[in-house]
Amino acid sequence: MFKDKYFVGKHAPFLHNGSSIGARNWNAVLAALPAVIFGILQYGAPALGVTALSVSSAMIWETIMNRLSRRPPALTNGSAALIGLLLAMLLPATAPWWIVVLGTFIAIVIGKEIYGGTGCNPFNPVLVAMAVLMLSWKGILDFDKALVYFDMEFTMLTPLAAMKNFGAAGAEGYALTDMLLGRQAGGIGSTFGIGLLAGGIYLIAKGIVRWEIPVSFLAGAFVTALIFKAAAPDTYGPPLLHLVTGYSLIAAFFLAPEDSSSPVNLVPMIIYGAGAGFLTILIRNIGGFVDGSVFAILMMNVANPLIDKIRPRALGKGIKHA
Amino acid sequence: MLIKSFFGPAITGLRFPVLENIHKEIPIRVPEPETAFLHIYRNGVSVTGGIENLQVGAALKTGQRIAVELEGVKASAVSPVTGVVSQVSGQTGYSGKNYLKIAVKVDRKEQFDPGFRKAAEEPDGSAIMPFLDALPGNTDFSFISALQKPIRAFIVYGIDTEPFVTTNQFILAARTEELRAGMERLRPLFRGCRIFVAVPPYLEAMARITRAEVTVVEPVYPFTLPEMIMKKAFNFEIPAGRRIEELGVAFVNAETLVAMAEAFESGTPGVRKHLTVVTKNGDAALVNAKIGTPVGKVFSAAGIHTSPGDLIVQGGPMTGRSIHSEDAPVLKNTEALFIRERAEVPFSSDSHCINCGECVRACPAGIPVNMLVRVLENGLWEDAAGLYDLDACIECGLCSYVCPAKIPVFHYIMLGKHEAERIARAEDSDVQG
Repeated sequence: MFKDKYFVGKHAPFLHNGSSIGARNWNAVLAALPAVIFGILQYGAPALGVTALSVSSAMIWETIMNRLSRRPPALTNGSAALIGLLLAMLLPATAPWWIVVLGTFIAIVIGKEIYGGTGCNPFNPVLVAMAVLMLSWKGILDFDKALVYFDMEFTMLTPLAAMKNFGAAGAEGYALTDMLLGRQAGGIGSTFGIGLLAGGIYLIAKGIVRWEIPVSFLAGAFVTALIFKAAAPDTYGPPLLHLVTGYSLIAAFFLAPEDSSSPVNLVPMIIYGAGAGFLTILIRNIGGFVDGSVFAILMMNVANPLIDKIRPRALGKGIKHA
Repeated sequence: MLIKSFFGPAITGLRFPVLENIHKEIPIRVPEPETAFLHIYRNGVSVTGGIENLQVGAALKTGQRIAVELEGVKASAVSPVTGVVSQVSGQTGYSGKNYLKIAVKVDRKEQFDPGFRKAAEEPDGSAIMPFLDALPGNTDFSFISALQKPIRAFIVYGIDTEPFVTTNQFILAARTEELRAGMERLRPLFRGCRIFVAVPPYLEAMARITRAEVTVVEPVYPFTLPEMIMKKAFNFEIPAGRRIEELGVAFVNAETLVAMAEAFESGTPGVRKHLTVVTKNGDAALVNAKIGTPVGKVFSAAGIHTSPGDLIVQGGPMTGRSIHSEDAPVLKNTEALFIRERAEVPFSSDSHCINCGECVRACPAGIPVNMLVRVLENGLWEDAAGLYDLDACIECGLCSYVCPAKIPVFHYIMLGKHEAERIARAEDSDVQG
């Protein structure tokens, strides 16, 4: 029996392009780092503390859930680390420890693991956590209250709050270049526009994020804001400012394109992105919240399975000749 | 080698290397084996003529037609060697297909059977068809000659379907004259048919020598598969779930036509074939072996060392089948042997689909693979066929190739097709019963 030489068996194909879930997630972490490092430099030790706690607690929740659900350990694929990092990027540097730990619990356990783990979440886990935190602890998540003891060289009132409260007049004094350079109040990793853009372009170039979602998100937000501005120039802020402040850029490049909760076909991707951009501005301008990105994307996550049904005809289907 | 589109879907592909000096290659000739193995599958149509129940000890001559009955379905083959049958056994192969495995102890004194010559002299072409079926290649001549609708066009493969494989390109470049002669033999058998030859751009001038109509095909997988050649070059979509032949078009390998020319010339059907052996370090060698030669003999003739636990693929790297033993033979449609070390084999994982959409963008047939794999993983075969276009799959394997979760998507699809077919058959017999 054993004198025979046996070979391994496998189904075709016998080649692979070398991609992996881990490579996708760790590349996304890498792409997010410029914005995170900027935030840590700007806000100092508290920001570092929040980021480190968020990433580590997310990974611990993931490990606990892997054990409980008897799934193979999934830490090395970077999904939990990315979720932790993105959540930290949205939080103010002053977020207390229990908000961070609770946030990662909601993201990992309620947002992802109870659905079956990586790839099974119908919503972006980070946004599920953010939505719960924003609704439950408004004061802690309000940047204008949270960052009140920070004194920087720029206006510490967030541009979105200024526009919400003072209309178009509130937008004066916020220069676009300042916004892109991170000279604005906001989350740890969501204010440094150039860093987020660079990270986003890196992900698009790598093929990890498809350009359709970020581009249509920004276009949808811009057009909607433009319409508001044209309708009532005194009441609403300028469209370009909307694109570079609040969670706009991090939402466009890091949150909306999350694999599991976003569509894969061309037209649905554009509808999804544009819809999320539209809802963002709708909530900001006439809704009850200062920033609408979190709820806008969650709402499009709900619509995702339906809109992703719009797809091209498959080869050889629906033809009658011959 | 991988090309991907930034803007549109479905332009993912694997580009073939250009082989300028392919015609100068000298194939390694594999000597006749001591034991040859034949795998006989059921034909598309039932075999006409006398049925012998093949017994151990029966003597076979080279070129002798063997017609056997296998579980009620008649099948036929042509013996590639002279010798004595030493073993006959029924086997179950890929996708549950039954076949007959025949071992023949080869006699060094080769004798040729006159069957082909006799059949060729008959005015009615149907007698020759079972012999043509056995020629190297993949064309089912008995099936296409029995079709209601005559074949209007043959498309000759002067390009290979898969990257790394060079067999047809070599034949077109090195045996152009014989290929032309083969086309002349084909025309009277299928009166009024047009003959096209599909070639990569660098072989276009060579292809013109054959005087067939030339179709240049970009050497990018999967656009070298029959369905894609039909769509790209002829703007003709094959309705999902139907065979190309039913629409009056048949594909034939360049090698099949060369073998046909030689068969009519010599009076014995060709029993040798060329194949590309892709070694562990990625080098390709052309070999020429008798059909039925165990692959182990091919490796020793080509000086290739294999170890237990390696991966040996009968066929190309995208759609071939892995084999477990060196005794597996070179079949008439084995265009290549692909060898990889165990460490380099991309084994599948049981990760969930992360819905990244790479497969959807790679799929040349426009199938919603992300949804399809979800229903297939849960055994919902009818949903797969009814809702998510399972039958449109052209079996290229690119979905598995690009999957970052390393889900065996292609494997799931083939299983789904098998199960959907089984359900359809069961329903048919219910209706009849």
